[in-house]
Amino acid sequence: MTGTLIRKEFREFLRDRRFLVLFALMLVLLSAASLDGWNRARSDAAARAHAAASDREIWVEQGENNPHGAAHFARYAFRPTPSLAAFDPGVFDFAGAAVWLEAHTQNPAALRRAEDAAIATPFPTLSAAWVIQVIGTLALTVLLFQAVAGERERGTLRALAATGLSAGHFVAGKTGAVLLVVGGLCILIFLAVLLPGAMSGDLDAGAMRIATLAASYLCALTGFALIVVAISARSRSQSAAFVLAIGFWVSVSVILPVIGGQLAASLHPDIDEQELKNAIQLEAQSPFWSGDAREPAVAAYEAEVLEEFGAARFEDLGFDREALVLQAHEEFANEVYDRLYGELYARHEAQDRVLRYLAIASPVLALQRLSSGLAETDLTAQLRFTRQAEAHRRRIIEQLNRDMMMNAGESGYAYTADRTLWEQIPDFQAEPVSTLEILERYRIEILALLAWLLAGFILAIHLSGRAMKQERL
Amino acid sequence: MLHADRATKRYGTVTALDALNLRVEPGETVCLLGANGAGKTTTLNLFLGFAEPDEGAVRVDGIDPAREPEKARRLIAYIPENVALYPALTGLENLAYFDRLSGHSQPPARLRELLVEAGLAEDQISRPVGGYSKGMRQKVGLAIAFAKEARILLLDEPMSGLDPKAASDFTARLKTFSAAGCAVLMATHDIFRAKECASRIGIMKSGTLVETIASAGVDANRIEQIYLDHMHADAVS
Repeated sequence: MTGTLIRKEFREFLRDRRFLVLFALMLVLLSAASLDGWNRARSDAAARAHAAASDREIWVEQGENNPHGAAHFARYAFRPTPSLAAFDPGVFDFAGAAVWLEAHTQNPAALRRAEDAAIATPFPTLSAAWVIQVIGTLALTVLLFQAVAGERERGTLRALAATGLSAGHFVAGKTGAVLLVVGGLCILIFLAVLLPGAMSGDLDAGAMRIATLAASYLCALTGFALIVVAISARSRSQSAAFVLAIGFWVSVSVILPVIGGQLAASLHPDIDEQELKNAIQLEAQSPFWSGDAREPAVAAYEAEVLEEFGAARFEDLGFDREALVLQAHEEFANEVYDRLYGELYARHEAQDRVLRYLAIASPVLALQRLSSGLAETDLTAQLRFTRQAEAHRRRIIEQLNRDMMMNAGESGYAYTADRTLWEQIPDFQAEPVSTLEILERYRIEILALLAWLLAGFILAIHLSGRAMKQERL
Repeated sequence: MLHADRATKRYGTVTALDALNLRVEPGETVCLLGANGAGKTTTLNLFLGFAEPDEGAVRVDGIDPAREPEKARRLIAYIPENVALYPALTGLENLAYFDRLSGHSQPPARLRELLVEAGLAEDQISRPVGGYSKGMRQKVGLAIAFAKEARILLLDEPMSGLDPKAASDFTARLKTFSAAGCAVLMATHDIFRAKECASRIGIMKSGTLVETIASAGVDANRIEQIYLDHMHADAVS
């Protein structure tokens, strides 16, 4: 019985020109977005790999230099391009691609991919994820708003009731058809989007990551579709169902994500960049170089060195005091950076929390956040990169300062090191994050999606069943 | 088989059906005649479980359709005045769909036969119903009802929109149904068709069954006269 209902629904979908037009439109958009995404990801990854190699070459080939001079000569940490950025760029284009790793200063990530975009581009990058999240949910709205309201208005709901069909079978048929359509679309979508990357070898995400991503989309789109069916069952007419369903789509796909971003920024405003630079100068540089913070900072670091080398006096070690002072400043400034950047990151995380809790009210926002999280193109991935880059900066600057401290002797700034030291300075390597870590971070969004799915099932079943039972004069 | 015992149905302050007593036994065809709003469709809705009597009782082969609508409906084939079909599906596909929902799975050849017997031309069978006229849709509705092989037929103006030949074929078909032991209850405005196929004719007015006539031995003109007398009764008084 249910199979008969599902086959009929599916046959109607296939004969519905709107379905075919929307399906074709989706495929065209997805193909265009997918090809563009993979091309951009490929060229971006190549550009970053080339830049990283050049940086390494320039660093190693700098010739003889004072290690602290080399620390100012500096290196870059380039954020690797996650392969799933081709599918869901998230905030990747708007986040800095590289951090300049220099002595004394923690720099913010710079060189945003969006800066290279054509000025005439009126919209953000067209991505496969955006097409599914926004156009896909619109397509489901247009296809399903009349699922039950149409039957009622056409009189076929009454005709079905007159056959003795139970409400349970009717609901099973409707929801089964929705699952079939959404499931089929998801499979096609993922084939259309991921196959080009898999075939070209650009897709390096693990099977678990891709399966989780696919499951997230299936869960979100099914929940959304069932809510539209429930709206259709609740509405007295097709026109009312259309207005309500479109209202639902606009609310969860457009208004909440846009307002959410603005709300987050107004509740937790960003720290002004110039204000941050001034704070760094006033708190991390001036107090040490021209204030009274220098002596205690040097004394503290000196005590660490003496303990490490088991000496009573620094002079007994034969080390360079200038280098000690330089590293003492690093230790002093690092605490300030931890505080200042900590505040900045805390604001970003507070903004992120606002969106997280708003995502409970929107399955599309929850999907957007989980999707960019799994693609490692979210704010969290960017913060992870900047933190890892800063940790790397501290390691290599300390390595250079300590080389000078231990080897300069009386030469001070006249001491030079060569390629042997430069080659010992490691390149920046981003530490990978596991899918489980991402899922743990996005547990609220996952719970929200599951809750929407469950609510969709309950509402669609209850309201469709009630519509069937209420088919009375 | 169809029993209404003082069945009363009100919609707000309007009494759509007032203490209806009606019995339709196997092999019997009863036609309900009456103006719009006389209570004919309400009577059918009570038997279908689409409406519940406020007073009295309604039974379909002993089943209360208000309590067990699905069980009662499985015994009934119903043709409304405007047959509702799926416009994207062909006539054959619509018939196959409703046939399966009724618990049958008749082969396509048999379903085609049913559509042709209902008066649909061969070349129309495989066209989407969206392009059908009202009469063609009614014919598909007839085929759906016939395919169900139900013991009870409830018909609400089933010949509305049918061409004369199809209406005549339908009347003949009805007779074979009642001859086979089916109980048929039909609401209609068509006195002559009612006379032709009914064993009894009930005249309804303002929710009340005002007279029941055994159609044998009474000609259509006489039935029309009785009907018009009832309709004019209020105006005269």
